[in-house]
Amino acid sequence: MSQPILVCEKLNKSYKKNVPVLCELDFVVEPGRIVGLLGPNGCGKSTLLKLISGLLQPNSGKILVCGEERSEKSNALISYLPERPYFPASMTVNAMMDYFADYYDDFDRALAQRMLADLEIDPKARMRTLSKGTKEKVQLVLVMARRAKLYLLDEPIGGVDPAARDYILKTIIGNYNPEASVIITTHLIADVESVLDDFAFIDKGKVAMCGNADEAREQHGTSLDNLFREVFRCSRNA
Amino acid sequence: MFKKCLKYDMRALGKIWLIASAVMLLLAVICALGVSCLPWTFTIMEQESSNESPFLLFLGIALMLVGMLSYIAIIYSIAIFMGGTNILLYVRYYLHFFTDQGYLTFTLPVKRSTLFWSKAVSGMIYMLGSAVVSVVSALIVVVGFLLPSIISPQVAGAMGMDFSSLFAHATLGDILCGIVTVILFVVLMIAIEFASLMMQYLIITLAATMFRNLKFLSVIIAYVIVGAVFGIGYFATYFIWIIYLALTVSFLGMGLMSLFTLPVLGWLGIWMLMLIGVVAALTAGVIFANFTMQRLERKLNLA
Repeated sequence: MSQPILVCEKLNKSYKKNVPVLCELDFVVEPGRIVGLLGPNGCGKSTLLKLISGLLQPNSGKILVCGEERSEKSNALISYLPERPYFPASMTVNAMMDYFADYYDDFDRALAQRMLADLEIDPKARMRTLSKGTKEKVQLVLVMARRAKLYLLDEPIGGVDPAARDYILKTIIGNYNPEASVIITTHLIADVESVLDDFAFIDKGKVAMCGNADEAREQHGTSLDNLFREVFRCSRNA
Repeated sequence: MFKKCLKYDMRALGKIWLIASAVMLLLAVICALGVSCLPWTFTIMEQESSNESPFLLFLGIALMLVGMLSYIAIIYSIAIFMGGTNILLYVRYYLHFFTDQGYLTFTLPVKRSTLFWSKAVSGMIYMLGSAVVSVVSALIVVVGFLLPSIISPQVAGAMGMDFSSLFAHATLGDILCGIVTVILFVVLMIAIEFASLMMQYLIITLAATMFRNLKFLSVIIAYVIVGAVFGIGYFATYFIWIIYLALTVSFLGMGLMSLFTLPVLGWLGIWMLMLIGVVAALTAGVIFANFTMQRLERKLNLA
């Protein structure tokens, strides 16, 4: 059996004392899977992605990316898309492509240019002149144009119009390396459901339910969207 | 990777700094023209006192006013230029590391220590560049002030300037010792600038990693705490040596070096003190840098 792309073991994280965001969380992602990390607001989805990408330090627990502990080497394997605009406002789209090409050996510039053309984004435009949705598209294009092992996409379709959502989801499925894995966090479960191989419901800092998306739909006789509503309705009523 | 980081760090401030430097030098030329009015006022006032002409009095006062305003303008311009460069460096450091841009910076396949040292080296280059531009600007103004006395013996006479006696009594040994002292002074200033930059980066890092919701206030608190530890020695060293250099140069110029070399320390003693200052500043800078890198490695939380 091949080595998991990501292993999180007994991960704990709290921003304030006695208020845990993640609590003894265990999470494994196998190669070649698209995983939906789903849960209500404040359940710790974004925190988990930031821990994996090294932007947050865990209080305790272990994170292994392709068998390696978090370091600058694992940064080379991860392509992370945060939930908000993070490119410097003064830089142009072209300059951002130069930046990615300079730092990431796996960046495919031709692919990025093709995707930008498909989305009708001017590569000469400065980031500050773009709308929020277009900035998010540019970020997603650059992140997906890498040949990374693990893509971490935090709310990739949250801020874009429905027509662009379809293109983005197609981009996610079409452009990633089959050996690589993608973790997507979102509230828009119905929109992403069709592309998910696996899912994990996160609640109160723990994995409440996880597994194969098709098997779950078959077993429960309903969509992941409805299953999510049922699980979290129960969880809130409990 | 260090070269790539340095390239982007230099670019981040490059355009604005080059424009500011060009403006600074242009201002220096304008101020030099203004300051060059000052020596003429001595001649005009001399003529006015013998002629009692209201026009000459008015002209003398006007020229003095232009000269004094130009002098004040260049002093403030240099202070704003130097301070502005420093502020830009600190703002850039904060933006790149502790705001949303940190998502980009800290997910690069680069060691955090490399990211930090690239900021440190680019910061030093800009600080030293600003110092050079400021010194050149000051020299332009000094030349502007001295030019009338050099081209007109009448002005030189009215001002009581006699360039022929400058350095006349200084021995070759005195001049060499003066040159060594100036070189050591420059090295000391660079070491102190390094320590100062590292202190500011540490303060920003402490504030940004210790307090999540009170970053501005925490910068001030961190500044007071770290600044109190380092600041006293820093400012004392800085100003003592500035006064010392001024004295050395002026004594050397006036041929009074023999008076100056007599005091307790002697040249070797003074150089030893300067070298101790260099080592102390470099040590402080390295300690600050290590603390900062530890915080970035272990305590960085970009929520």
